[in-house]
Amino acid sequence: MSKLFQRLLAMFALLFALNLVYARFGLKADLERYSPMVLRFDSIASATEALYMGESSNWTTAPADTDMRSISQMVADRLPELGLIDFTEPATHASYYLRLLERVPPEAKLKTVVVTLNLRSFGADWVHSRLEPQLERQMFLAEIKPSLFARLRLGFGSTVLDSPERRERIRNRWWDRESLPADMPYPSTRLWDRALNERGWLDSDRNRQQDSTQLGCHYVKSYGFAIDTASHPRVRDFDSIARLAKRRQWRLVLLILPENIRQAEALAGLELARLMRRNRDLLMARYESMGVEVVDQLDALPASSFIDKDWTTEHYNQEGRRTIADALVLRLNSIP
Amino acid sequence: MLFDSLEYLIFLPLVLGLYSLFPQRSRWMLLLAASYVFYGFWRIDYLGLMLISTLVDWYIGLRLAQSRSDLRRKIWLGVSLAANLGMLGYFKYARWIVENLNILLPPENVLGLPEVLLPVGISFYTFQTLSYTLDVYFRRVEPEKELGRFALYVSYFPQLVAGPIERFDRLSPQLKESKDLRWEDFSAGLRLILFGLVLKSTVADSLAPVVDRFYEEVGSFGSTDAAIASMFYAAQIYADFSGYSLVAIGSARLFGVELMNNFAAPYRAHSIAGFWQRWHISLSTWFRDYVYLPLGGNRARAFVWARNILIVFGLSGLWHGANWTFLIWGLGHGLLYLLERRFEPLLSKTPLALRRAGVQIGVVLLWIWFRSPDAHTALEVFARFAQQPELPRLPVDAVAVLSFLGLAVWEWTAGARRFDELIGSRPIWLRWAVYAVLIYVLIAFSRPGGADFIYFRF
Repeated sequence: MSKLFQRLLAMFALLFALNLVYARFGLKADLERYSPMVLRFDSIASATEALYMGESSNWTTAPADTDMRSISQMVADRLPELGLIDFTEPATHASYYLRLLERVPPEAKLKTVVVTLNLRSFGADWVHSRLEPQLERQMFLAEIKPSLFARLRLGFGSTVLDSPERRERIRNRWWDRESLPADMPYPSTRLWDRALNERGWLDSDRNRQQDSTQLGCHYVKSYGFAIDTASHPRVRDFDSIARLAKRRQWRLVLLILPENIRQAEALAGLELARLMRRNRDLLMARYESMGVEVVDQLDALPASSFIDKDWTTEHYNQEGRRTIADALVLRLNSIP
Repeated sequence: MLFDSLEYLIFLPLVLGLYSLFPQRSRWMLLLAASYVFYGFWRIDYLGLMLISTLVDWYIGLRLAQSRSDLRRKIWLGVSLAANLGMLGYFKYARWIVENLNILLPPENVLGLPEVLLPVGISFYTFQTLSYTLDVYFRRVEPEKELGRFALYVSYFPQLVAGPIERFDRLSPQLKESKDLRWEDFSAGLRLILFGLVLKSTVADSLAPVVDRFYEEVGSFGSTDAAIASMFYAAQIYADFSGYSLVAIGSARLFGVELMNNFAAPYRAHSIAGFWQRWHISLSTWFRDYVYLPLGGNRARAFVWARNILIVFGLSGLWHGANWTFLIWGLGHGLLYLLERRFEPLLSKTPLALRRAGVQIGVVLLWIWFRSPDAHTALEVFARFAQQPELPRLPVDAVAVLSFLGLAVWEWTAGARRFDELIGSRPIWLRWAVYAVLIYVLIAFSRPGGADFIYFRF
């Protein structure tokens, strides 16, 4: 038994030593290769006083645009003294913003943090997105300790426990079980989606338009939810961001991104638009009561400002980006 | 469940721990349950196929032993062959057969393609159960009376999904014995698992992206890239499958079970015959014992013997997959084997190094057929070799180059000795230094999202 104990002890000592070697010589190269997002954030956050965190909504442009600047760039140009630098990564959301912000070293000079709040990211389709494992993998090496164990898990493919198929099943179950308020036409997202699909979207001649029907169904699945502030993972993350900002004495601005409410209304009905606004109101009230500055742009843009006409995205043309930048500049210029 | 997954690294110690706690007489039940869990991790519904195969061959084994009439025995054997090969044929070859039939049929009579998913390991466990029935038929072994123990022979998890294909008289007595755990077995098993995982997760997985990149767009690469991709694939498939086999052998060894060696430095062979004595040994001996020898072996007339050789190699090719490329790969080896025998007097005077080089070139070129998704791609790869050499454009990183060179050095220096044999008798400081390097290499250089084991497809 003592021989076994000695061997086990030797094995632990060996692993401890290997972990030190890896942390010293291997980790940096692996972070560059597998976690470029984290490294990029670290270098930005330690060098700036103001940070804009968002997803592709920040820089996606329309083909006809002549002003190719991102929202954050427009703000930075208007407020050069702020020193705003953007950190934007496609498909990211509050969970990543929180985990990245937690990495900001105490000695950093960061003072202002703008975080985009994307209503669609509260939906099941985004919470259980197939892109999630890739993002999660980027965080893995940076977060899990000891590093050698994180690298083992990365190599052996166990960074996220849910397979894409399982994620899809959970998402579908969410739609099945999503309990909508009583004034909504259907009790769950799934039933609403089904009903719209069966009824179809009818044009002025009462002909079913398949493309519009599908898009309408997609709107229902993307926005047909009632946020439960007690259990929603995004709410939990935004709450933590608010607490973190308070603790670190950052000025936190939540930017509620515009959604194509007019198209939602046209394709899925007034009730969906009402539900979207109700969710927005809920979030605004919650975070303003926590001392966070909220810039509400949910309803701010006409349908023409949205680049993607056949899908739900937060991609805006130059007029849209300017409108959002104007609102943000106004808020940042005001005394907190 | 994959060997190179964290689930397996948890599952294996768990089963081992429970095994040590179980009373000896019921350990086989634990192993059987663990084997079904192991398989069920992939798809639980396909467990039924394995159970059918198990039930059919167990029952037929008993009937074969009871029957005195030759005719009845032949009928029972026929039923077993039909059931096993029918199942294998349906799941593995039905789609391919229909696709090829459709080429011959007029467009209005084209048949619908069956939508079937190939059950993992079906080629392996089908051949294992078949070998049992054939051995009982030829009265080489006594039939197993207990269904549960026979089920364990069929499903024993370390070698269930990709071999080695074990014979009943070798594996079953060891499983029955249910040895107590011993330190010697434990340490040897761990060494094999460690080395096997390095071969798979570091060596094979670092070569795979280079090879995959080449085959994604063969037409855009030149002769140098074709040569690199071909050599890398030869190394990749070897590291992948021998790595898998070592993890299987090592896992079984933890429980005191010795599985057969599946590889013995195949690229050091100086003849095609030698290559097949060293590559996927459990499959080549299966074909030797159950196809080649019953066909007459080398006692037949020259023409019949040559035909037998081509049948065996052709079947061996088709065993790997339902594709003409596998058939061509198998027949190519058969032809090289026949040529080698035809020119044996001349070859025997050729320096060993030259013969070895010739075998390596032949094997590497034939792997092109094995790797290509279709004949057109394979021919396109061969056409690349006719081009003027140019600087390589494939994205080859340092880990891939070092993996390739490391494997070559290992093959050259270790020869047919297994890692555990080579390292087990060394001084303790050297052993631990090697373990440290291997653990580091395994963890720090394994490729996230690495490829599946190549032989899982078969």
